[in-house]
Amino acid sequence: MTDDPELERRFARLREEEAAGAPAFGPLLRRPAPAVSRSRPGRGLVWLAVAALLVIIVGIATRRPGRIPERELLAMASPEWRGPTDFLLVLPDNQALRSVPRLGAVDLDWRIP
Amino acid sequence: MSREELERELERLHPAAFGWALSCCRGERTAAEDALQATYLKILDGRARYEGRSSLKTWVFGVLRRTALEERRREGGWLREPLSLLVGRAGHDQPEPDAGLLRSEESRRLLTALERLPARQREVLHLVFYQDLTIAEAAEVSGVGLGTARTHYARGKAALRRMLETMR
Repeated sequence: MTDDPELERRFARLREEEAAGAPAFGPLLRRPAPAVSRSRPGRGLVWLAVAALLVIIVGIATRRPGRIPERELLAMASPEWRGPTDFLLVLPDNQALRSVPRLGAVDLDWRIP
Repeated sequence: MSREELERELERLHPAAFGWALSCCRGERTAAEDALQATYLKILDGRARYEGRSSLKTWVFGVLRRTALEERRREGGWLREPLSLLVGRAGHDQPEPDAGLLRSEESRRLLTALERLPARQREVLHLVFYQDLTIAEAAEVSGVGLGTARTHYARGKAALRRMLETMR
């Protein structure tokens, strides 16, 4: 007798239902023992799943980040990096564009034809 | 005890043993029948010997529990839970639908709630409420200490009550 009559009642009902569906003792004892599992996933299937999982994990771990070689990536990250078409941007007045003119300063060069 | 006497005792315990086998095999009827047969053969062949240190029922249930565990490990059962999580098994916490048994809605709810408990709590509750064992006998079958079994019993019972309340 337990301290919970409600659970006792529920379990008793479950017990009756399962006892009614129990296989007969004699035939169960005397039937041939199964050599391999029946209607259960076989060990082979389980190992196949494990192998597939390992292949996926190894594939992700060894994946190359991209087609750009590492030295190129490092060069692009550097502030000194120059693009291959930078020469097209070199203009005659580049120096003037990069400097701030001083008040009163005169540059005679551009007035001489 | 002679083989014939053993066989008679096993037949007497058979309905209860089937219920315990179902519990050990998470409701899978085929696995339960296989484990039960393997246990009977082990006992009758003398590979498992009853030495009278406990009641016959307690001893048989202990052998059955270990046999079901061995069978489950051999069939890759230790991988079943993580694999089922990966492939997203529908109704993960549902026992095998009825296992060919006629079950009432109330019993299905009870089994669903039991399935959500940790294995040790589920075992102790089954052994005490379903099999009418004492907590001490349940501890012996489960291979745990008496104090541990009492803890599993108290916590399992409280959790089971809570789940059954929410399922109303």
